[in-house]
Amino acid sequence: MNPRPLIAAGTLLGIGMGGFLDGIVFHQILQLHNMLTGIRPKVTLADAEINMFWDGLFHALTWLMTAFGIMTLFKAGGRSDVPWSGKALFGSMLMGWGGFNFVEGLIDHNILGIHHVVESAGLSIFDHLFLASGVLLVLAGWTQTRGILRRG
Amino acid sequence: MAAQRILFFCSVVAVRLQACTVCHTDTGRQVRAGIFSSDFPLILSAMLLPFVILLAIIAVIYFGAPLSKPLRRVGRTV
Repeated sequence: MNPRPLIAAGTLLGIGMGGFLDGIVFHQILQLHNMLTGIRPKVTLADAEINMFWDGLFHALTWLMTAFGIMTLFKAGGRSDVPWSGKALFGSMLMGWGGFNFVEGLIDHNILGIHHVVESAGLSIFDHLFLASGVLLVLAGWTQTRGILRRG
Repeated sequence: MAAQRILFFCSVVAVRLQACTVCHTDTGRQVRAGIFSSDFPLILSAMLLPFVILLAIIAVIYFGAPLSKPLRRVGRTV
């Protein structure tokens, strides 16, 4: 059996949904940061709209990830050599979410500084907690997924 | 009352036009200038970078790492 397509689909869905959660909760509901607030703070209406444009592109990319995930899952469902496990799918979604938090946090928050979790605080403990959440989610997902990988 | 309605309508329309990114208003022009500045390719690359890395990870999950042994396949009869 080949679990790779199922895990890839779940990971893609996790990346997409993790990205949506970030965008919806942090960018829109709490408005703690937007895509470029680290280099273009929302001082004027134009600044807010420029940030909104880049937020939109970010959401478009997370939408694409989710769409690829659904497509990959659909294809995996039609293959007899792919094991069908809800636990592995859930675990790989957690890994995708964690992977998103870690990679996006490391690049955008810590290295490039184009935004931070709580923009008013700059690079802060919240950014480190965001990275830590990524690692924890990957580990939690791995514990759910490793069984199916061992079985092959 | 009619004057108030007209004032309300005009203010709503004015706000809508100001907030429109693609409209030919001062704000719209400022927004376009801010988006499509000389930094545009740099910012776009910065935004795409995490997704490119994540897609590379997905490719490794789907196809396997280059030069790695394939997953042990069990449950098949020869």
